[in-house]
Amino acid sequence: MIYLENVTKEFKGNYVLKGINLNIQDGEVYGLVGRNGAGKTTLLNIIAGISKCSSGTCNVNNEKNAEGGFSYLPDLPNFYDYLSIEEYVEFLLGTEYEGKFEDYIKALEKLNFKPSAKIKSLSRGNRQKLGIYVATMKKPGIVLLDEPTSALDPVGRREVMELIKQLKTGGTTVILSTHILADLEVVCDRIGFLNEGYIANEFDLNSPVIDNECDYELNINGENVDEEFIEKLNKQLVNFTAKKGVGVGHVVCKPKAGIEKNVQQTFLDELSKLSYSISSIKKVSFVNLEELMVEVLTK
Amino acid sequence: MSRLSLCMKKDRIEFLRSKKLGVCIVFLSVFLAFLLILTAVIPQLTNLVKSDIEIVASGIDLMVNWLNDYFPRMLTDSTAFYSTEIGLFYSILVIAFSFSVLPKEIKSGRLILPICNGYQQKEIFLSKQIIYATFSAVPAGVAYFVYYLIGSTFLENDYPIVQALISSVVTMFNVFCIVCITIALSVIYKHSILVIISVGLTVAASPDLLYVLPFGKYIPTYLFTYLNYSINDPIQLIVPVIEYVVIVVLLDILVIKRKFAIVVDERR
Repeated sequence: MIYLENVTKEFKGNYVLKGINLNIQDGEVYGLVGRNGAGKTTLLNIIAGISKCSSGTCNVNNEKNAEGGFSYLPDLPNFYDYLSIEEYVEFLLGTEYEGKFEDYIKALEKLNFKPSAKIKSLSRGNRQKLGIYVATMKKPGIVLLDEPTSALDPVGRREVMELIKQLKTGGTTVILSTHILADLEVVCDRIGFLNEGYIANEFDLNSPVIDNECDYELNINGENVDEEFIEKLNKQLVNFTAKKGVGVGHVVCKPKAGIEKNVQQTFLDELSKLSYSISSIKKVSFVNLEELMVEVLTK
Repeated sequence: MSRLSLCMKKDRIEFLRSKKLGVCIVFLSVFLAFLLILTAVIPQLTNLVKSDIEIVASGIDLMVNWLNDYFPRMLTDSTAFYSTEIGLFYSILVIAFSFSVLPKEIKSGRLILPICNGYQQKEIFLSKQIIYATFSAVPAGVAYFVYYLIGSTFLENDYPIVQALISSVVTMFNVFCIVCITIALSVIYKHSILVIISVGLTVAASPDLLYVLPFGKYIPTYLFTYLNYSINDPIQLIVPVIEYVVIVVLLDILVIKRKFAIVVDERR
């Protein structure tokens, strides 16, 4: 668990953090959002223990997966540029991973890295990708990632999001700071907006309020999804409105306003009453975080 | 392999690939060649001036004496001169190499991932000290002995080889300790430029200044300047060596007790 109470940070009389209260549970993925200079990196530095808070309490208690320890990837990761990738990985793995080194090298090759290449020859995006790999390779209990995808291409970003999902599945607590809100939508359980030195708002992305804003994408087998089918489906659905999706058999269902129960459960209940063969159900969009962020941060 | 040895492997690669060892060797080789040429030429020149041309003007005589003082014909005096020059110039070079290496790593955040992966700051610090000090010291000691060997072919040899060997080891030890102290002070001082000023001045200026004091010969850096004359007196050798060891150990304890590697904002 990560617990912060009234944490402040002062730089030469200027308070960057004025009283942060934060409670992050084990296994939770927490997104940290804020404008440039809001203090996101300072807050992560304090949680990581590489910077002292001016006042307040910061407790990082990692009971689950304790042997994995703690990892922090700063926004501009700095490596030993004169080392090759494999030399750096060997150095970071340390003594207890002797004998397993080859497995890590194979994993690097899967990520399209040449293990013998010097780190200084890597592009900014590849440095970031390497940073994420080395920060998470030991499956730590807590991972702090500061702008981990800022220099990555869409494929790289997707790989990182998959990695964070895997960490979440394994019970790792992740704090993710980024300006790319689409990334947060995909992986986060909760998002905190940092503004003027405080956590201005927090949103639970799994809460019913947020769920009301979700669309559900269905893949229906053996049906000709045309206007006629959509019309028929809309008559069968009570709390949702269906429309044709992109691709064969794709339907997008949007919740109607005023659903009182859990939206996802309501949707599944309604689907169970239908007689179609549904191969996949996917949440396709959340609340528009960008609009939410602008609204919160410009208040 | 222990974590310290992994750290040392990494620092060894750093020292070699950043071409610091190459610079040390080139510097010492050029320096050695230059001084050997001067040492070989000057006595011949002064002979010419004194005997063949037979000029007895006082100005010329003074110059000849000065040249004889600085470029002596005896091997003991000549290697002492070389040792002094190492103290002056080579030490400044290695101090310049090492004064910012650890502060830069701390500031850049390069230590964050190793610390997260279980490395302790004492391993990082000791590894840096051992590798930088060893790789700086060995070329200095070797160059000293090479100077002795080449010098003994054309200078009057009044300096036994065993003493020369001991002196080269002491020279190595001297450089080793200077680098250790520099790296330790670079972590203790908030502004690392103060390290180069304080250690540089101590190494370059203090032996001559302290020589006038009764305890001057027991100051560690005195070994550079007056090593050849101290070699026959074990006390003059042992006291500075013990002082060096005590200073290095005390500074290391001080550094290891500080949380230098994990506080980034205090150095902003």
